[in-house]
Amino acid sequence: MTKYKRLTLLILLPCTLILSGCLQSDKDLVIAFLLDWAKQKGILDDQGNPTPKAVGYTLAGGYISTGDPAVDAALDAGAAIDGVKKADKKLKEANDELKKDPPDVKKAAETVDNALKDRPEDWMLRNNQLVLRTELGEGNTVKDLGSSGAANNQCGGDQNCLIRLYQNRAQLVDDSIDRQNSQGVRPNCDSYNLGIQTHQQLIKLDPAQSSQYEAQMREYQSHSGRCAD
Amino acid sequence: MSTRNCLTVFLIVFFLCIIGIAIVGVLFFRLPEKWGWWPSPAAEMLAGTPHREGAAELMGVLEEKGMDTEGVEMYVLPIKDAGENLAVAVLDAAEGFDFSKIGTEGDPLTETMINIVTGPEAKALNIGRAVVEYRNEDGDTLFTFTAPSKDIRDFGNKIINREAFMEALDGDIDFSKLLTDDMFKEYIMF
Repeated sequence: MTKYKRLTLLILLPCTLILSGCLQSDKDLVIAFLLDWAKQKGILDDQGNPTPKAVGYTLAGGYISTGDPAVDAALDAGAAIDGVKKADKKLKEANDELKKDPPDVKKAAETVDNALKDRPEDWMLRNNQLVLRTELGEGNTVKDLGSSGAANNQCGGDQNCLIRLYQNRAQLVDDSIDRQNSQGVRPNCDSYNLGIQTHQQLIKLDPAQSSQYEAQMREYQSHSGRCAD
Repeated sequence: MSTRNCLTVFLIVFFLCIIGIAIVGVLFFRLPEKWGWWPSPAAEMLAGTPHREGAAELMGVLEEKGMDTEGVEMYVLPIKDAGENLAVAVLDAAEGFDFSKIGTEGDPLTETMINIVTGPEAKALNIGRAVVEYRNEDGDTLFTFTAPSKDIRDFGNKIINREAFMEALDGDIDFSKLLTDDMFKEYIMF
């Protein structure tokens, strides 16, 4: 539809919208909300007629800046969410590869790499990449992801975020070691070392749960002489 | 004035107009983002890791308040450098959302925002701002509204009136899609 046809429809808006005498239905209430808001913002006048501002809205097709980047970002959150959904779909595909018998860890790692292209700052995806590449014996290629500095950057120093990050990583390491065991191979030492480092961070960040983390850490340490280099 | 001088003046005025249109297009209409030349503010400011467990908690809050959450998707996204999170409720008709089934007592959009930000869960999750976005059966966004959590709570607690709340509320309405949408067409008198 051309912009001129849209403009014509918009000019007809006040003449064409009807509201029942009693605003009972939820749709009525939604329309009333939209009209009230448009009047408050000067897009429609008090009689419901479009103002010159309405022309700008129509021509812009919903892409007008409010002047506040945080508000613009909030109004465009749908775009960010579409990225989240795309990345989550790829993460699910990666997990499906890991559920196969035998698990295709290489394909899963490649799928996670693709997901990271959509959301490179998502620490959950980075944790998955770190653990899977470590499982494949490629830990050196993703060494930086495992550093506490990287984690701090991803969480902006937020303690609760860091705890969630390391708890997620700990679960992924646990799953990785179980997966290697289930295939009848000795889990590689790098996986155990990653588990130990992760639980060391959790002990510092979440002292209330330290006994649980210490127990898991000792379990991983007991395997240090029996892992695959 | 000679032809050459006229041409020079014309070209100067022409290029100044082009520059003016470009400035308006970039700053006001955000055309480079619309055309995908550079990322939108959302791409950078909301690039952090979604709080998936938090989103599930807020969804639980909506269900406890009696809302039918079929077709409702909830997200909690960290706002970069702001130290707070954004709660986004996407009402997606393509996934089964229907305003007539929502189960709220008053205006569905306002009540959804109030329900998201007024409980202890929102405080624990540090929700600084809420967004409600409606998508039609074709997946097109018809309208999006956002407001700071404080203003939403103040309106819910009747500290501010509807006019003040509407003033605090920012939004985008795609009028052309709204007027041709099957759900809203019944309101059109032709």
